[in-house]
Amino acid sequence: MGRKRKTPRADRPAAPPDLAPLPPWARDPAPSSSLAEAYALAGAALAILDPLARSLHPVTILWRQRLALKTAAALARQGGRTEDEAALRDHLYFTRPGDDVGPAGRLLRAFRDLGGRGALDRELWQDRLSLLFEPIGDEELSGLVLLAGRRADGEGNAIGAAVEIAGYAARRDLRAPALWLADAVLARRLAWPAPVPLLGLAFKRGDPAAFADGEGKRVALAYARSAAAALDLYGEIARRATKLLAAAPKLRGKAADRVIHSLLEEDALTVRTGVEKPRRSRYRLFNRLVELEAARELTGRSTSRLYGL
Amino acid sequence: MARRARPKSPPDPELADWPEALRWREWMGRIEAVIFASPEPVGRDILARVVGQNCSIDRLIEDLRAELRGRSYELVEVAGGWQHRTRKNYADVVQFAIGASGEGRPLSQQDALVLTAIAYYQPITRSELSAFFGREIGRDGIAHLRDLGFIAAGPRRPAPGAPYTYVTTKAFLAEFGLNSLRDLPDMEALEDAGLLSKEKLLEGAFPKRLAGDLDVELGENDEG
Repeated sequence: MGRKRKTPRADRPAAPPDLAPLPPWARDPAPSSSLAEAYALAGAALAILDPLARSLHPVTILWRQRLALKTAAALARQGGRTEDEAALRDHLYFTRPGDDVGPAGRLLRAFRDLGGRGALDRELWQDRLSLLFEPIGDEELSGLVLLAGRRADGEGNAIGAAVEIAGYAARRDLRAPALWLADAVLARRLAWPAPVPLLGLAFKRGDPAAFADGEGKRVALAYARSAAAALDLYGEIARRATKLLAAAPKLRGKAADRVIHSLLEEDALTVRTGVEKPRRSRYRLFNRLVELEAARELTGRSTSRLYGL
Repeated sequence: MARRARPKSPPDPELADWPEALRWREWMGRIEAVIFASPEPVGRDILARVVGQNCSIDRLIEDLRAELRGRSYELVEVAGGWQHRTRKNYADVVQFAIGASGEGRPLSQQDALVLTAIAYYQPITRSELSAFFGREIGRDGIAHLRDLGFIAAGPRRPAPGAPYTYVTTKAFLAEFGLNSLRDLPDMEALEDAGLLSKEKLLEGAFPKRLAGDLDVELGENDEG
């Protein structure tokens, strides 16, 4: 009875969901597509995305956080700032509780919030957005929220619902909230358990002013592209999650279990995440995870390191 | 200001041989005068120096407040002391007439420039500010801006020593009549030109003209 019995791994997280790949014809839609083609492509991409958006596997939380990071970086770049994804991560993870995360960090927080269930509650949109984003004229924000509320429920074209709201992205001061609301409305129409940050990803190449085109072709194309990008991102995450789960048996103990669970659902962890004073064993654990290629060190730094899938 | 002759002896707080009513009025006058003359809220301990030991400062304040009813300013308790303040309904008038928030917040030229740099380039550390200005920006200057409530601690830089960065606050926006950071002068122009970049800042691309514009606005509050 001296030997410790192996703890039953009933609590080991399940493998991340497998997803059908996006057919090649649905990728990279040409801007010259007709309106009908644009909507068809967006519909196809969103349909492939749908099971993933509905999945409750922890890895979909991480996926949404990474999409939020990409959206925030794209918006920050649009806003003339230099914060890239790495800088935004640093802003978020290295702000002490109670300190101000800064305007760029707030942008990231806002889109991470979009990925949560609470973002579907339209009654709370006004208050939520006032808190998440830079103070905007109450009147203008309420106008936008009212519009989003009207589009949030009902039948028929989900993308059409997002189009009108996305049009407000042409205005600088309403850009970020407009994108946020468009994705929130889409998620409600598609009955997803939580929104998925999508539209902002399209900014890598697009001009947000173009979103104001009345018929919605640009928005539909944006959703087609973004959904494809989101699927690709998921593919990477799923591969890494599988590697992590494969390495899990080599890492014993409660601390390791907790870290593994956290890695599956958090964009990034510091050595301190979840503990007051990390012991040496914790540092060793993270090093081991990196060695096993079960996790990555995301910053390339020797101090203030961040770990994630 | 002519040199004042030293007072022969400190004012007598007790006024023991005064008639009661007169003494009370004198005490009221004294604390009113001290509060009126002080740019900061005056604490109980300071007021206690000029009135009798057994006199109730709260009652004196009550009587003073009663007398001010109907006037455009009032006596308020704030930040642990008492202060005269313009009543809210006259704030717009004062703002319009003399463009002051009425709270006398002195901001030196240097402070204004540092604040400007933080506003545009936040979050930014003290050493990054020093590098930009070409000279050491002292902790005191930063502390002053912090005490004024215009800046607050932001994310810590993941660099050796994990220095704090600074960001501007809502109070900053309120004080300078800005609805959001995007209302900073020429913010959109800077964005479009891609100049809102710390790297460019440190290369010296900071448009000094803007600092000039902002100085004009901030100068109204500069009592230096």
